[in-house]
Amino acid sequence: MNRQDKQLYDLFRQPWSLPEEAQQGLERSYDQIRQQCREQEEPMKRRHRRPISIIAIAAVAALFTISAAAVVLHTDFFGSAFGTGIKSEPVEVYKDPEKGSEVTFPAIERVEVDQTAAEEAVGEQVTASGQTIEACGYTITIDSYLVDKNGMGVLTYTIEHPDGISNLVEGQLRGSMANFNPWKSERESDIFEPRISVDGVFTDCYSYVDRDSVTDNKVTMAAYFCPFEPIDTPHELIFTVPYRTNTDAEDEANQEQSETVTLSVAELVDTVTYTDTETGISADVSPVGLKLNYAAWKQANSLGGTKQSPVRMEEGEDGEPVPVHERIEVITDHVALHYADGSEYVIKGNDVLNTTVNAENDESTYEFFVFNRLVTEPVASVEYSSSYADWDGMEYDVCGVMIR
Amino acid sequence: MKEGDHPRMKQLVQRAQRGDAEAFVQLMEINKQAVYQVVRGYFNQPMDTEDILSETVLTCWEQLPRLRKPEFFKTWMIRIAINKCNDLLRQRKKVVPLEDLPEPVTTMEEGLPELLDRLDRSTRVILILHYAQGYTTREIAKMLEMPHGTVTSKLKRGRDKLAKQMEEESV
Repeated sequence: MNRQDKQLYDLFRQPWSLPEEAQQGLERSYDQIRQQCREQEEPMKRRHRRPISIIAIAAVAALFTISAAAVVLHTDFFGSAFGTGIKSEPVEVYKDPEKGSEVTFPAIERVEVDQTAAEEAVGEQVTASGQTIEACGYTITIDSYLVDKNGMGVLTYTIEHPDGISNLVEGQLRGSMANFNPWKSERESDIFEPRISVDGVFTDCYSYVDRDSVTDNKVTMAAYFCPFEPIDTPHELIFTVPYRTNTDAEDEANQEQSETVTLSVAELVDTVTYTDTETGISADVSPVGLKLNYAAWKQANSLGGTKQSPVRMEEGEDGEPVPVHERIEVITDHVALHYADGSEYVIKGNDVLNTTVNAENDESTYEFFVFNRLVTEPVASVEYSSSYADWDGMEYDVCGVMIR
Repeated sequence: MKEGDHPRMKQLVQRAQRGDAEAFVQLMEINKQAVYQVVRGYFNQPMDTEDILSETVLTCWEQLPRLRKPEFFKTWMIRIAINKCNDLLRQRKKVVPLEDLPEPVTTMEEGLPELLDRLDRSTRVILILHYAQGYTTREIAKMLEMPHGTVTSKLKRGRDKLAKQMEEESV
């Protein structure tokens, strides 16, 4: 970073005083939102919910399960995680009504699994559970789970309630966001999206509806998870369901509670490691997910810093330490698996995000992707490209490697 | 996580998505500087900034349940603010939202916002997004729907112009 840039950063980072009128406007907006909440809360508690129609496909799926069970032992699990009830559409986040422009996330289109191939590849590692959690009248049952050596995986569970589960999923099943996380938009819900940690490491976790499974009282969900930090051969998952029982209490601690179950993961899905000898970038691939490790490459190229935590401190002209940012902000542009037969699976690319969940650690040295399919074909190489800024000249450099 | 600067941000977004108004208020209070700076980059009239800030808050609240990645909250919120600004510009018969004519300076105060007012609107917004909010040129190009090359050249020119002004004004 040159002197001029540093000066500008320092200047722009000084707080801008918000005019009093603007702050008052904000306060008015906040009050409006609080008022809306108060008005919505009571009627919603009393509202009689209309149950969702039973989806006839569920019966067909059940028949299929019986006929296939002789060959494939984990049909239910594969069906819920990568089955026919998983069609999704692009998720619209915000659309400008006049301009028409929108910010969207690409479709998370889970690819249906070949169940025989899946059984051969990971059947032994699918662990059945049956453990349950009771909260707010709901029964949550862990069905099965699959975890790889890097702590990435998928877990299926059912949630049922004798009075119906429509309040949890109705919005999602009716709209275009059918496989979007059903928990988060439910403002009036008393039970929240489950969380999963692996060996005590918090994961990024998303639950998707298995649409074929929905009945009035029960639904099956598939939760995909990956850790925020690297994990080696994990031992247990902790599945947590947060809920609230007393929404009137002022004390937040009295509002949100949780129930947990611990699940042992004795059988782990194996990974294969590919390393690019020139850059040191490595990729651990399992049928479930991919862990990229570019710590060595970032260190070798002074790419370790962020604006908040620079690469190193140097002594400035006045003897004071000066942060040296050098090249920062690595952006992963393209990640793909190249199969031995010449075909490819683009995991991340321009307008492509073929992953159910992905995360990176705080230092941005590891990146995790949980696939939207089971990878059962032999993988020949992993393609990785990223770009990073040189802050002195604002020029971008590109790293592109084929990791074999 | 690139955007999760604030340790509680993700948690607050998730709570707000569940309808917790107080969590949402906290979230906006943490991020109001960022929105204000961007909006101030577009407009220097207090009434405009006030209206857009309020509208942005209400739209964020409405749309928040649909935000899939809590860690993208700040970018998402700024994008909403940018759309609001473009709405207002369109209402005022400005055909091109980020045109290159400088707005008249209407205040006698001399600080960074006022120095920025001497630059064209798009350059102001780019400088703010880059230097104040830490977005890369590529990210800015996406947010403003501008070619990456335009963003980098405007950033370079704006940086030089601003530095020259600062030198003259001894800021």
